[in-house]
Amino acid sequence: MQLYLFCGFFGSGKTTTVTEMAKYLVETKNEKIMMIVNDIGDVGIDAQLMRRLQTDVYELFGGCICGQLGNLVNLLLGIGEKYIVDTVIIEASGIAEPARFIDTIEKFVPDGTDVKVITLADADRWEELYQVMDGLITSQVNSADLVVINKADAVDENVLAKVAADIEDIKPGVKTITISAFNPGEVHQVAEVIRDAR
Amino acid sequence: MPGKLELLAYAVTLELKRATPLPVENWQKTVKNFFDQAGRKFQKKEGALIGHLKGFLSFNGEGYVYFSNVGTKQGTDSRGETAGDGLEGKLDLNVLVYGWQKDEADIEIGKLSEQLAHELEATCVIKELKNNNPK
Repeated sequence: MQLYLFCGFFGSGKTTTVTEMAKYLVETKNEKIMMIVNDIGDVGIDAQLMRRLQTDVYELFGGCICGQLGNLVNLLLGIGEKYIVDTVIIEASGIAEPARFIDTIEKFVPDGTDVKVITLADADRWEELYQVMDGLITSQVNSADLVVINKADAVDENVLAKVAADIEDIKPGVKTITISAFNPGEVHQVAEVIRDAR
Repeated sequence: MPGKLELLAYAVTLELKRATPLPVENWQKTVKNFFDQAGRKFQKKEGALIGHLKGFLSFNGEGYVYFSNVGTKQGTDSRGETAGDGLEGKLDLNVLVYGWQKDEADIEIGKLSEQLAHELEATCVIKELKNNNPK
């Protein structure tokens, strides 16, 4: 079994990426997917979209997933008995720092589960966000097995090179892939690359 | 951008009701404009930053539209199933902004909602307005 934890600042394209990825894994790999969404606010926007796309979604409210660990652990403990799945996809909220809860996930998933952290970087807002949210963004990149540089369609090559260089500075050697999540084929590439990441 | 930016997080549900059905495509266009205006408004304030403005517009039938705005020049992304007409729409909003106080954001959300209802020629009930700041 695989567990993919997607993190990244607000608006970086997590929802677009994970919904397309889930669709791809179901339709081309015939996988059973469990989607766990950590949204802020009592009105879950992302989960509503995913349900319309015929995905089983479990919601964790309350800002950072680190404040919902009890509920998350209960879901993870049900895997294999209550929930028969091939892949678990967790979409964390924009302010979540995986370093604060990844150990808990690894502790409670079934033995042998391949856990990967994927961080989305918003190329279009990178410069602005990296100035004012440097601690959060650095933490999210540092935890990543794969960094997805998204919104390549919105910026030029110089910007993409700067984003890639900053990411390399934060975590030397980390695997990266550059995409536009609005292009389903590029999200499918992410699905393939993830399995080789780390 | 001086000082520590505090996140203000709202969850709002608007219930919009028209006298006659309107194509979902027209709902989408009008609500997209609402998000574009909200994006400009919340970005414009000195020292402020948009985390994410996102919404989900649903109807009793099949149609739905997802909206997302992060305050960039790309404007609002909107997508969904837009076939058919809608008489009553439920618009769930998440407003995640930095550098705004709750009372001033309340005012802006109220104004934008009024304007949205006017443009849709609909009545608007703000069913929930929650300040739900994450800890």
